[in-house]
Amino acid sequence: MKDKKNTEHKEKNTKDILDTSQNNNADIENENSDSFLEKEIKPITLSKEEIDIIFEKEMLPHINALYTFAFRLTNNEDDANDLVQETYLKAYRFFASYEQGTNAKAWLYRILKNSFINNYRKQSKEPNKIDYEEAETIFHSEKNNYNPTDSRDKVFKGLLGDEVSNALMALPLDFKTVIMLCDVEGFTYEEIAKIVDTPIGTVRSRLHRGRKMLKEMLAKYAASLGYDVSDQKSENQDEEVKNSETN
Amino acid sequence: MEQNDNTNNENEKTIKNDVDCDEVIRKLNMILDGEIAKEEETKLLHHIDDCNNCLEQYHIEKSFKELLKSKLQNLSVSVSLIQSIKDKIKGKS
Repeated sequence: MKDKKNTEHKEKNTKDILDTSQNNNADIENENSDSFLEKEIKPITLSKEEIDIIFEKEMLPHINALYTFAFRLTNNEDDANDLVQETYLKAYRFFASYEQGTNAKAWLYRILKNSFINNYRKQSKEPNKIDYEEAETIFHSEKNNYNPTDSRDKVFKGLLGDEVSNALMALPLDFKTVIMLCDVEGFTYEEIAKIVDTPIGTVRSRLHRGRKMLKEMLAKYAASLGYDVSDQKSENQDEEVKNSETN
Repeated sequence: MEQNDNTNNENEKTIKNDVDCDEVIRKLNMILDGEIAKEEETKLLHHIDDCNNCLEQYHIEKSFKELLKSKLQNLSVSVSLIQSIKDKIKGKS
């Protein structure tokens, strides 16, 4: 019965569940990044009614948070809606791979994140292959007359939510993802590592570098608005964090 | 200040409750993210209380984290999306 169910999943995958996808010949890639859902599948003893109740109680309440995450990834309302719907339908279909009592929200985020990567891979936009050194070089290449540690209240006080949100969305995918998961949603490093499928050390260094880039962008923006961004002393935090990454 | 600049040398640690500034600065984000074990956190926070430089960096990082949290509020989905998901699920057996 389990096998039959799995086969059905695969057959129906593109036309039924992923009815939002534009491309039907990406089954293989599809399976790659959703494979964790199939791997973790367990025999399920609940009735449809019971599943529906749990689903409604434990999964649906996270929909606003998921939509926000989706919107900041896609920067588009329709794409965000599609992504959220796809996530919930997959979560429902693969409910058997959800371990009850564990963090439902983290599980949903993981599905959404993987779906996002899949969809972009299909559209060959491939936003996840970013050369981080290059990204950082770009951020540092322009002559900055401010210091990234200038993040005092007074510097950013005038910034609006939209400005912070736009700056966040301009960050490379891997950096904005960990910042949203940690600073906005309050996931632990361990949960984030699972959602984005990387070691904890990588989560820590992405957080550090992402926040640094974001501070620079916001400081630059604040300066352009005429807020006081005076010279501050510098510190060599980066070197130290890089050294600690390998631990 | 007792702290030497740019010191990575373990032997030149400025000892304050067995914690040096380099270590505190390196772990600031982890402290704020709640990723440090209680006992170690107490030690680090104790150092921060006594050290002007670390305290200043701590406040900078803390207010930045608070800024992000406060400016990046959750958006709301449309009622029709929720309904659409519920309908699709109901139809599945």
